[in-house]
Amino acid sequence: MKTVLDLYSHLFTSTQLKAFQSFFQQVQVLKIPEDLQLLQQAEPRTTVVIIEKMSPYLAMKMMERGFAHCLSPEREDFRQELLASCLLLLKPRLLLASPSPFFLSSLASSSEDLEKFPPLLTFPVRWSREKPAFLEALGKYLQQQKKTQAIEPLIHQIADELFANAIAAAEKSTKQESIATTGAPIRFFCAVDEKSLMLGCEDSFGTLDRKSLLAHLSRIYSSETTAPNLDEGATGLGLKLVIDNSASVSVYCKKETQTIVACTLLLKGIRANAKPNKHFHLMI
Amino acid sequence: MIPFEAKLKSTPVEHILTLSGPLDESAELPKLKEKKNIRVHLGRLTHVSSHGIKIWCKWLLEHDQWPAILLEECPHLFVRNFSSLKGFLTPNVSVLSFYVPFYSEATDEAKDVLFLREREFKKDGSLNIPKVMDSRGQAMEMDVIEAKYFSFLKP
Repeated sequence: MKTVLDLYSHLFTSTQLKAFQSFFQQVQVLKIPEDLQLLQQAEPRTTVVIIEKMSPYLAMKMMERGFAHCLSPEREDFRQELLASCLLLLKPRLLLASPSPFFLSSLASSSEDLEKFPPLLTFPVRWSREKPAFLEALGKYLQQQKKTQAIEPLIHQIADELFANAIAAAEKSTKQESIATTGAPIRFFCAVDEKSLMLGCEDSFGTLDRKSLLAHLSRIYSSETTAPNLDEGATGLGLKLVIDNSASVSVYCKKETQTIVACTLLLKGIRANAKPNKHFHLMI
Repeated sequence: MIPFEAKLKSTPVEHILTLSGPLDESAELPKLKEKKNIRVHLGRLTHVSSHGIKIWCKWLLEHDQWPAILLEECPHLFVRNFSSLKGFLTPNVSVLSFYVPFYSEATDEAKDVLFLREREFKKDGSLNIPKVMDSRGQAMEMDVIEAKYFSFLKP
């Protein structure tokens, strides 16, 4: 199989190549549909999947085979996401140390810089009743940004779903209505650069299960329309709304230790984010 | 943040319901008794969460035998659910007007334009797309995936 260096070195500057060459040499590329015959021999722990006609369903199917990173090659932030995927495969502690700037288009030119990049908005949450305060803080932060106006409805919807999911996970984990006494709060973060916005949250519960998550999303994306659960409990739509409104979605989970869910939205309007050619990173 | 609010006014011919704020888990939609048309103004909704979707679908189900539910000023995030979620529209629902977002890449401006039935769209699904200009006088583009966004109009 070919490596990132073989196929995509032309996308990077000489400075970046110098900094990341050893990463690019170690990461293999599986192109879909071109390399379908290589599917069996591809090693998920060192392979990035590049899907020509991306759909969330196709990405879920590849991730069910164990792959963590599925990218859309035609997107202008492909280079960025490819670099991020290589770093996540080989040096995941960078993400865990500082998730906020990871998928912004201004991703640092050296891996050391990542640790210095501060998140621009962080908001700790311990109670479900803090949602209005969180959304208000986010709204104020967005007002200070020049280029986020066109996608604000998407940002608010994602924020609402991330909040609901994180609180539900915390309640499930702590078996109580608040997480006030259980140690670290859920931390929401948001950062903006010239081309994109990243919004996410991090908690210390680690409740996500890869198999059931993928089975759920595969079922949802297997048809054009889906029906919400109208009975008691969750609607089953939260993560779908997050995915549908984002250009990229990253999920990291270490059982009972840490969960990070982060979305990247392009600042070029709603349609750019609503398209099916998204990037996915699932590290569970 | 503005909280969710549902204001109800009833006339001899119809109930008029005006929703504002976030349609989320805090939303309560009114229980109506007298069976007549329901006109719902949605233009002041700020967003619709998955919990809000559930509340909306359940409320529609409770009224699916009513004469007609007329939706006006449906915001973009509301319209997106028309074609992707089962039960978000019932057969007795008619969409009288809805917003279409427009975007200018040159200036980063965004505008929501109200499409009215018989003016910008017809019952048969045909569209009369208006020309929308940004502050530099350049044409703005519809900021939706057209085939999907307008698919609920197809008879």
